[in-house]
Amino acid sequence: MASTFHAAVTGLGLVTPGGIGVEASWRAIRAGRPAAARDPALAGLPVDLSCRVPGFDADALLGRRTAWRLDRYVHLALVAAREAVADAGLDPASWDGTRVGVVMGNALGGVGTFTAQHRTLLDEGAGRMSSLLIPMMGVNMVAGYLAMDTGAHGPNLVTTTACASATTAIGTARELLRADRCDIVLAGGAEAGLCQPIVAGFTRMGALSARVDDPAAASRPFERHRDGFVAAEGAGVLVLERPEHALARGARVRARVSGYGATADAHHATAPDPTGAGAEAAIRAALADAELRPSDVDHVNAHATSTPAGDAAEAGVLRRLFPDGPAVTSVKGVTGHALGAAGAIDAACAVLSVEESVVPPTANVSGHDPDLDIDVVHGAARSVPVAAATSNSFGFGGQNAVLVLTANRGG
Amino acid sequence: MSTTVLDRLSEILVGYFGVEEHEVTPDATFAALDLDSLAIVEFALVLEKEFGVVIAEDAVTPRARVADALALLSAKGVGQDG
Repeated sequence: MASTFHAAVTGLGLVTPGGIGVEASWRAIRAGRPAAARDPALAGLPVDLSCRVPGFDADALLGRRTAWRLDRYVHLALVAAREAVADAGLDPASWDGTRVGVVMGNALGGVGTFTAQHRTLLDEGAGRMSSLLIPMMGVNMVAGYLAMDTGAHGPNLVTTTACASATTAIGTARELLRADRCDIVLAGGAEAGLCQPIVAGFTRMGALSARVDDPAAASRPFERHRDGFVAAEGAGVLVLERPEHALARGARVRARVSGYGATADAHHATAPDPTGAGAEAAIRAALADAELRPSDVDHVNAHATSTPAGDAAEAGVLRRLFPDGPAVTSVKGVTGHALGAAGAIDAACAVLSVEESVVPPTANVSGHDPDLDIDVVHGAARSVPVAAATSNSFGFGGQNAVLVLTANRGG
Repeated sequence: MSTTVLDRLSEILVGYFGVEEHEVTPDATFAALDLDSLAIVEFALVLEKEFGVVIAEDAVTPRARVADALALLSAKGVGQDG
């Protein structure tokens, strides 16, 4: 019988509205410090809130020679990937690149570049458009550029399952390792869609918080008065390795990806199935893959974007599935919702929770909500041993993806 | 003339394309400055905007040298009156 496959997490990289780098991001998330603010680039829209990465200067971080050719979503990914590779103690100059894969999640591609170039087309004509438009905007390009940056010649792809994209990427990366197609996979997600058409489009759907007069209070997952999410940008990259490969090179294993489940609601374009059947099936599949029972789960890093219907549906699933009441949190109260990058940010935080035995608080939650009736960590980070955690992502289109992260203790 | 055309070209290559200033010599090819076939189209676009001239799509190639771009601009009257 095939035994559980534990992909080793040996490196982390984060670029989030909490800060640049894992340390700055985690500090903001642990402190429950919301990043949402009015955004001058969105001025004039009915909802002009966003969560941007503070002080992100691509020219300074990557060099102008590299940065000018790339969309911001690739900028964010490159910075996160370089951090993750360095954190893993890997040197791309010396690794066997044929055994290194890249699987990144992304939803919107280089939509900021597209929007600007469309404006040029309308205002100045086709002859003034950039020759870089297509390579800058492609959804696939982020994985290609990470490969060029690191000499990763193995399987290279981008998964796109809306808000679950990065979770799908990490799950898919683990499959590549399990199938022995790679020794190492850089897996995660990146998104930089904070331009007017996208934010206006989400606003027209009624998906965004309209709390423009109180930005810091706008993103409030699982809170009674939640009214939608705050759009965010960011990137997260995990270095995953076959356990034998990590062991052979003496790598520090920060945690393990021990299970993955993916399902579809087959219900509605944007509304979650109110019964939560698809989400529940994804969590059950991930736990079965990890050979764990619901009672083994200490912590749930929830999807919880703070839409009224989405959070209620997820809370219902968690209540039903986890009678022991694991410590639940959503980092989106701090970071907002980074769409195709969200799953990687969540998974990286779950790794840190496993590693440090601490669950960060959900920002803007002040007490127990009897209607949801789940144990949402709030107020301050909670010290709690986390041997196993799930990281949940549920995308528009009814695409559900769930990871199980476990502590590296034998097995 | 306080600023030569070469100076302005150098400013564009350094400021927009991230080339190191010391790399910008008349004999340097654009390929050597990391301006590939896509980037060279962008470069021609920036020259058009900066100097107010029209540059044919194949007038500058990655194999061309900085001196060739200077000659092209000069032929279009750039630099004659500053």
